[in-house]
Amino acid sequence: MSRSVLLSARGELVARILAGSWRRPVLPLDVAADALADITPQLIRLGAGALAWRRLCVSGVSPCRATFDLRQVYRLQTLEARVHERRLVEAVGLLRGAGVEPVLAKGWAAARLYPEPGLRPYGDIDLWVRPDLHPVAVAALSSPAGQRCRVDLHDRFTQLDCAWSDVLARSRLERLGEVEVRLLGAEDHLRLLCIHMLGHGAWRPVWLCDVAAALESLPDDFDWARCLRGHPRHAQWIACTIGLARQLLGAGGKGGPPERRLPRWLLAALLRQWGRDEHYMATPSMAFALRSTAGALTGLRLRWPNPIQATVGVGGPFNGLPRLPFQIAECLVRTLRFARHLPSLIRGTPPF
Amino acid sequence: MDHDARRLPQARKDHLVIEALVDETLVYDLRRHKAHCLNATAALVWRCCHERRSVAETVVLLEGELRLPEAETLVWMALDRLERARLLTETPSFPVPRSQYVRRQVIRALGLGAASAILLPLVDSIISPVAAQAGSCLTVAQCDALTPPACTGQPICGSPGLCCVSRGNRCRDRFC
Repeated sequence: MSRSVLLSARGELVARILAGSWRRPVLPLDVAADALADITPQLIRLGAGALAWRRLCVSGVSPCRATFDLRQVYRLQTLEARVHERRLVEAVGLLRGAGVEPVLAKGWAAARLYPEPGLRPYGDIDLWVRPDLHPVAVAALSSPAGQRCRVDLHDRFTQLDCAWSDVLARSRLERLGEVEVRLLGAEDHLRLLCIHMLGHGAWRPVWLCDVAAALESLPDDFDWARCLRGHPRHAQWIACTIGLARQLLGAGGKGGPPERRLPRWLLAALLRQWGRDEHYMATPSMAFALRSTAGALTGLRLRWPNPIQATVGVGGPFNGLPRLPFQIAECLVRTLRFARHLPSLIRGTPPF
Repeated sequence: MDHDARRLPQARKDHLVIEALVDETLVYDLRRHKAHCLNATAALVWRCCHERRSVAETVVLLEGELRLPEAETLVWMALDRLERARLLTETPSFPVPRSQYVRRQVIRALGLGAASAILLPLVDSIISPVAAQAGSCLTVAQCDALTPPACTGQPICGSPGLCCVSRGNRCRDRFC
């Protein structure tokens, strides 16, 4: 069996295990013990261990090493979710104390649509603030308490194609413990989830689960025109992501862009990506990798963009044309960007 | 066996995140960045520590709620496990040497069958190094939970310039 076929088969198994895993009640899963043992480390690496555990625990699978590992992930993530919520509350408090109203996207904003807190992993907290208040927000989060919150602060929504005031007008408040956290409007959030996932080459299946969970939780007054606004290419990307969630994970939800045939390369690239062991986002930065020849070669190999990341990276269309030109172009763009930042990386100061 | 009228030691409350699930209780120690899983027996004893109940009261509760025989030994065994996990604020004064609370020895001493043995108090550490790599970046706690060669310079969440790298036989966050 060729490596490509093997990767696709692994990716298909990941998709089968995760299909409907965000729903209440969750459906049992029929998977052979040896296949489960083989795919478990991959599920955990991809951040999908807890979702897999959720399906397995209603499936009557005999206890084994794989079920033990997946359950441990579920336990850890359940606790980390609570720790993450505390940090989020603290960060929002610090920013509001400094007169800055932050908007949350991804992370808890996506996780709150799942039936349990620990089903998806957390990293840092993605908060957006108005560009003119960004320096104030940075100062507010530079205290030891602020640094503990691990906030990734942004000041522009590149994926949303609209003004900050427009984003804020459509945002809404959701209660988390004793505070209310401002989240993107449902249309903006679904759009951001889709484009963010594609921009990173869709390497984490949990991002597609986020899209699926969002699709099944849309409010009655969801405005599809707003979600698909702006450049037609962005609408095309979003429609394809929704198509992937429906086709691979069985996502439901009402309305939506008209069903379209997904380009063949898109599905194949996604499944191959989910079957891969490594991804550059979970490995050292290129500046770190360059310290050794072997590290540099591995770093370069891992940074070859998959067709999804390459197409979105250069703003290309999702059509039937070959992807190699997009991959080469995206690689060049990223190399140039890295070269521009290299002096500051060598000096040891972060470029951002 | 006479039930002890002494109060249980005080349970730790500070810097802990506690999540009660259906059949177990999860505890995250924010100070030591350790996660623990308490089974129903250990969780019940820990709850009694929170409520400052006496050993005798706890024994009655254990015998009633979990249908456990010889529950006093199990109370002390649970206290031993909780203290080792640093979930108590003081060390209990055990009536017998702590070596007697080894799981196999307790099973043998109480003549427990397989069905009852699963009710013995358990306080397990939750460690999953692979899970710690599941995020696109690692928190400091996740980095600390790894051992080389698992730390390969993964970025630390929210701290540009910091990576998770090996330092001796441990993984630590450092500038990279």
